[in-house]
Amino acid sequence: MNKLISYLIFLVFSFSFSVGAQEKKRSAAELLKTLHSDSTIRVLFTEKVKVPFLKRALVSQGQFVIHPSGKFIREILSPTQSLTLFSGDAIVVTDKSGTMRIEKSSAPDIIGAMTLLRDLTQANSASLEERYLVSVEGEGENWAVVLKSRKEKSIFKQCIIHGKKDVILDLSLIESDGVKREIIFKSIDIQTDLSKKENRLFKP
Amino acid sequence: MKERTNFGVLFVGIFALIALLVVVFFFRKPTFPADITQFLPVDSESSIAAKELAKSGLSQHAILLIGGKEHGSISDEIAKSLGKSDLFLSVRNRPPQRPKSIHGLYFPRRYDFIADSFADLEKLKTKEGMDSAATRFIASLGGRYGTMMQRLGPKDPLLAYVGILDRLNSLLGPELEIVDGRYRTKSDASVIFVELKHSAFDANNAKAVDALIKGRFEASKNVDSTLSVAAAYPYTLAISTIIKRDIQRITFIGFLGLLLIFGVVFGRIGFVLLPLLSIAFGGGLAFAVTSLVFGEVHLIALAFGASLIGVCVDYAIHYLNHPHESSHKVWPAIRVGALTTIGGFIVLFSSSVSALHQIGLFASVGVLGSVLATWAISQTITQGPQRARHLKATAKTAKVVEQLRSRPLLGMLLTLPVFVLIVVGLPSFALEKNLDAIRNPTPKIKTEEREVRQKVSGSQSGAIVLVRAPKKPGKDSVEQALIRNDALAAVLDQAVEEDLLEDYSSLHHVIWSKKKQKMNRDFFVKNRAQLIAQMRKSFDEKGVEAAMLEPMQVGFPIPEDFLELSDIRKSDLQGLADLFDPDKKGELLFTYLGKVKNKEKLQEKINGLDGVFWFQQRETLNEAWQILGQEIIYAIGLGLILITLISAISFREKWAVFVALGPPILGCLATLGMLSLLGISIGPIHGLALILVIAIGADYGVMLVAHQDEIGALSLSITMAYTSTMFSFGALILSTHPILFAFGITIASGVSFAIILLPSFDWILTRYKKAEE
Repeated sequence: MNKLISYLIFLVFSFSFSVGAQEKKRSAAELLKTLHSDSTIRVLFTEKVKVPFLKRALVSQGQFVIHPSGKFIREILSPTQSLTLFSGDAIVVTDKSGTMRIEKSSAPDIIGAMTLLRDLTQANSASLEERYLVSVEGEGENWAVVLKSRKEKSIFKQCIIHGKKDVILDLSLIESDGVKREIIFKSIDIQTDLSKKENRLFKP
Repeated sequence: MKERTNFGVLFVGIFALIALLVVVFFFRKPTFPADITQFLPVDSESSIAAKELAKSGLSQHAILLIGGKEHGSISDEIAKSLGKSDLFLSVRNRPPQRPKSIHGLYFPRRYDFIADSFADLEKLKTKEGMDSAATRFIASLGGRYGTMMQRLGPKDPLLAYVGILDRLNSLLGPELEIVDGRYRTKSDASVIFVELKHSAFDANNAKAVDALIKGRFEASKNVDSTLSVAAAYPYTLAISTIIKRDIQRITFIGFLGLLLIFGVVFGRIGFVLLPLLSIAFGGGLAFAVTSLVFGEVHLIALAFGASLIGVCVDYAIHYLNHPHESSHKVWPAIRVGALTTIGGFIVLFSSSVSALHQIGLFASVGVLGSVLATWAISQTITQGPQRARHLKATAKTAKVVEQLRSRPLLGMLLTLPVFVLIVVGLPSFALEKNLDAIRNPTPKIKTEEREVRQKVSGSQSGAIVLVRAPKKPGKDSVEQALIRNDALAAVLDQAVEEDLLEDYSSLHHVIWSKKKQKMNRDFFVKNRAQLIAQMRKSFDEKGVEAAMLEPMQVGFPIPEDFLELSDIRKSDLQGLADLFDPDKKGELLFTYLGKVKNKEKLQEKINGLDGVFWFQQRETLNEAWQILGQEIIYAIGLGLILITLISAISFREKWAVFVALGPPILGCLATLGMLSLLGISIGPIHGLALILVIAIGADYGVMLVAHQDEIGALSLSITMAYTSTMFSFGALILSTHPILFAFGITIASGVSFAIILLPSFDWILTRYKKAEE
């Protein structure tokens, strides 16, 4: 199927191998290396956020545009529009009222949290294992990769990737301050065309 | 020359001057500014504002734009390298660590920054007001502050902190973004913000800064790298280069002219030592005294001083043209001539313009020093018998004058162009109302600056509103300025709402006055119970677990102290504060207007505010320029009265005054007519030059009155004096600096018209004398 799914499947296997024999782990790491894609991926999603002080979950629709350089865009299309650009060292969030920038130097915890998503999309198992305890759960066709933060004070405390066979279904995040986030993936477009704006944002 | 016995006076004078110059250079350390604002009068609000702007630290800020491949890493290299230099106070190509600073400064005091007006605060007490706050709160959870608000939400239900972040973010501007931690424009260039340590109007500093920036760029650049600059220092550098080049040119041409005149007429190049020494003495004394008094010499004053060669040389010419037997007769005339010239310049002190004071002092002292030096040298050395070449030249000019005297009609005919120019030209006389051409002798730099600012700031109007603290002793002037700044912001917010203005950037986006902060705090303390009840209801209806909102549980935690400008200055936001408070004293605050959509209506709104002045650079400077014109007209009038008095006291004859002043006055009128016919509007600089025309022209008239019976020496003296004036002031016509050009053309033509009127005035003088006999 598509490459993102392949990423995550190999990611799952890589983590499985990591708890298994040394040789298998090594070959999985090598395999992960070859997964680095030169093409850009576009994924549509629905996000549900539960915050402790809201009676109902916040629901939004949007898309991820993931660039091989490691940068990615998270664009919320409804009910309100906003665009987040993650460039590795900074996050820039723009909505109709303006822009907010967060630099790695000033807010390493936030940038570090966002790095989780980058590492997942780039299948960077070394980086993930450095910061999370990784385990695989599930029976039969259904599986789940569980990442638990090694640090107590981190924004993403736990991340669970749910899948069925070779399809990634969703991403559940348990965050600091009791925030729970669920990202359900829909259609995925490999080697997607970028808009002018996206091209500019990804420009080095 | 033949030696006299006493060198004492000469040596004492030279020694004293050298000592004075040493003192000046080592202790006074004069600077050489080049900014045009020094030519603006002090008592007009427009020019006060222009000077405040020029003297403020704002002019020390520069923007460097690095384009081309790998501009980011190149900008890093340049910024790092410039940061090590002591020419700069700060060099930034990356933003400060804002989030931490902002959070630490503002979050604890967020409830002091809820609303700008009491009316907005009052709205929170109503159901509609709190419903609207609840709606905004829910929306914020999905907006750009969503991730933060999903956590901090209960601590900031009224979005006070979000409001602060919004205001601060609005200052970055839509054109500027931060990529890989560096400032980058949307046009894909890296930006370096630089603050100069010393004045951008000091020519030496401007030169050093320019050399360093260009040097570092050259060392770091790629093949296709570009460097563009928006700053004040390139103007200083360009103008000082023009002026220095002109000074060299004027000096060279002036001295070349002297050698030529003295060689041709006297046949003794050695004679040139007399004017050279007197000019050097006069110039040196003028420089030393001006430096001592003002601590600086404006480059225009220096250029003007260089052109005084043409005036100072006249005394030596008059002395050398009179054989020593008649030298006792030449000194009174030289004295009167020098006094009229000094009188012409001294009136410049009636102006409120500091640069005119410098010119007035420089010229007066220069003339005085030159006359004294000529006298001292004449007391030490005598000229000896005139050479054949000199006698021949005297005879030739005498013959020409005799011919003119015998044919008065020919003399009258010469005056015809003067009167034609007066009659035909003066009706099209127009006053210079636009300072653009004078302010900006280097359009290339202006274009580059505009492009850089456009790329960094977007559609800025260039309009700046100044807020001044009231000068009341014992008052907290910073707080008073902030109160006025708040009032201005309220008016500008309203103007944005009414679509009179696109946007604006102000210190109000960074800090409010304590008075405004207290208004917010008092409101919350006083209405706490009512607000909590209303908030519980409205937020609950919007789906918020209202009981979890912090104010419901622990009230409004606010530190005792209000946020002060000094707190901002101690934080990483200091650079931001510098933009609006360049003097770093908090007493003169700048607000930058975005695109102005309705100038008249906006002006009306701003005019009503205390201590607030809208500085519209072009209009403000033009207005100040016109006031300067009025001051110069006043100075011309005063100069005429003074020169008339000097002539009247010296000659005690009405006709003598008439002959002394008639040619220069008519020469001035003809010059105005000629300039008008050429389509040149008459401005303060032309007016200033006309004062000089009167002073120089009056010299010729004085010599005519004093030596009419010595026709040979007189005519040769005046011819040589005129030629030397042309060599010096005429050289100014070649200048590319509009001020120097205006000076040159006005003086050269005015003096020329004055001299061609002399034969007719000689005829009138003769008629008077005959009538008296």
